Amino acid sequence: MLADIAEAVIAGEVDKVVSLSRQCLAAGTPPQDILEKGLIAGMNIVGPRFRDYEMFIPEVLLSAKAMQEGLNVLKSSLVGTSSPRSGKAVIGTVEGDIHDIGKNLVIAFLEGSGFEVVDLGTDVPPRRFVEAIEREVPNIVGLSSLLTSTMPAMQRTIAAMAEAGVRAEVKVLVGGAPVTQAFADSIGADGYAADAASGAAKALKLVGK
Amino acid sequence: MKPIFQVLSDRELWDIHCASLDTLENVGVAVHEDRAREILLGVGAIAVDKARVRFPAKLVKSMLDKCAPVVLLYGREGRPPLRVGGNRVYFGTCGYPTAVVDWQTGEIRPPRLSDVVDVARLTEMLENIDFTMPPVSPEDVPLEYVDRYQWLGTLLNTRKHVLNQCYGAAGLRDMVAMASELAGGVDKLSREPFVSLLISATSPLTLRVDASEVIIGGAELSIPLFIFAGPMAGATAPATLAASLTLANAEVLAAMVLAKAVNEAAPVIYASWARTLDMKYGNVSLGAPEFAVLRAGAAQLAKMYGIPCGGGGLLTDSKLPDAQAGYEKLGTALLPAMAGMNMLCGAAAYGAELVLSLEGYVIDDEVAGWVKRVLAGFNVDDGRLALGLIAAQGPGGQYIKEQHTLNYYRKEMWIPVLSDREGTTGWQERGALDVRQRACRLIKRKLEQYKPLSLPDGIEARWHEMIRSSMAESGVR
Repeated sequence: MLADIAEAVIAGEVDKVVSLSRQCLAAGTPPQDILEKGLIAGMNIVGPRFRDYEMFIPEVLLSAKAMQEGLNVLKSSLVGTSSPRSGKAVIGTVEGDIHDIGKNLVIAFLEGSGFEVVDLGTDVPPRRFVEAIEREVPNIVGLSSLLTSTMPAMQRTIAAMAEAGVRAEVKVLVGGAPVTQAFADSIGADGYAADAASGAAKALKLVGK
Repeated sequence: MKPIFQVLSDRELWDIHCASLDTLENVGVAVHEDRAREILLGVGAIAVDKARVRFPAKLVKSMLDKCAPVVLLYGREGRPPLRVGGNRVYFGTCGYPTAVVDWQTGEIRPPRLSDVVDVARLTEMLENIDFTMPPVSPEDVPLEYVDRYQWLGTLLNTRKHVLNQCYGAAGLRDMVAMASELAGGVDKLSREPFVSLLISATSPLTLRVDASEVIIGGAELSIPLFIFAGPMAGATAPATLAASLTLANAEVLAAMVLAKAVNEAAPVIYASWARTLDMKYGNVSLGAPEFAVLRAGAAQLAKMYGIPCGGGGLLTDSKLPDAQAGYEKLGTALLPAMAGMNMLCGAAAYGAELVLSLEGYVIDDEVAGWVKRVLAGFNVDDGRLALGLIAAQGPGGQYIKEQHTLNYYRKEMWIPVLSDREGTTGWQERGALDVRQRACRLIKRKLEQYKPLSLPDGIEARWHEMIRSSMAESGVR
């Protein structure tokens, strides 16, 4: 049954993941097992298949959605035990930049990796990032920028976080077409990734999973 | 509507047709093989002198009527046949390279039998390569019998259709013996031929002895005949494209008349390699823009006659897979394909068919995929117009997560195997490989994944023995 859940996650069969997860819960399977040997086991196959050109973005997003819906089924049962999530992420496109396709892909991959994601949208001023950190208490903050001209806004955002005294509480992950590892280092970010899939992998690494 | 490319108006096409019949009837063709000449005179050709034969228009037209519009080229072990005709387009190799760019060392060296084997195996594995021709002439075998070793290396390593060139009647006999063993008898080979014969008329206006022998022998067995002529504008034809196309047409029609006179049911494919001579180096150019438009003209002629067609395509004059190869190969593939030329021969060939590159094989598989996607055009219907979805998403909407995207993206978008579309940083992190380097990695993986064919026990040893006794018979050591 748990293997069937994993298969359904890989195939992006949202309804099947939900009904199988419910059946397992009803049959007394520990929710932690459903999570780890079903949902996460499925997503662990999706990653390599995506890397090897067997699955493409639309299928990965559907698998991620199936995983999310499965998690929702488990949510109430997992209360009291350790969190089912890899962590929580707050993400947005920085001030002055309205590009969001890349950011949205990163969100999908983060969700597929078990993160709870709060999407702040585009053109997000530093102040709103700080407020979100105070409100949501995330592990990861993701900053996105497509334009060279908005790269300085990444630096300003990190500076604002430091000023507000919340910088040390989170790991900052940056990405986007003009961003490089060198730039990430220069503005004091914790991590950089070249694409959505490696962004999610990097986020897992930053939270120690 | 699908994309179409034509270079000749109906009037121009008719003028070239008439000029070809005029040439056949009033100039004639030198036919150097006695039996071929007898057969032709027997069906109404007229002897001019000891070699030259004239072809009355009535004879040519009556033989053209006997040509089937579709020829089936079979593969082995249940592979569905290629249905050569209509506007279908198939890609394959060509067979003349005399040098190989070693994909592991990068050096240009003489071909080996192992190259023939590797290419056959790649043929077997690559999705967009539909048929193959023994790719090179190996020099680590007795040179007079190089054709036999080409068949051995090819037939034992791919199930896809093999277009073979035979050097005369003796070569044809040995090739048929080999193919018949795989087919389970010559009758079965005739019924579902997984080999066809590449036959070249010699420009200008000549049928050599060996070509006539293969036409006669192949037609008798109903093995498909891929008949081509390759006049060189400015050398073996006038410098003009119209005259070159006319001469090639006359030469191919003459050879077809012979095939049909031998056996009305002989399957024939109209091919043309009419090309230009480069006036600086005196070499033929196969990557020239003229080569692409000549193919389109030849395809239009074949379509007017209702005969399946083929010829060179996906070719270049560049010696290696570089940018010149990229633009010449795409041009000489895309334009003939859009003209509906059914068989394009040229994958993996460089240096005007004189250099073979294995990485080129993988790259050309990708080019073939690119071209096939263009040929498919795109459909316009309610499902694809997606007006409901556009309305639902409205301004600022997102489509990546929509079921509609999932339903259609694989149907609408060609997914490359080799082409780089990654972001710059990721590409750099992965070693900043160019297409040739990526192709070499893919070759390695493909050759490792290749599973040997199931073959009759001891067949390779028997074939080696047959070739040796055939050599002994004709005094070759």
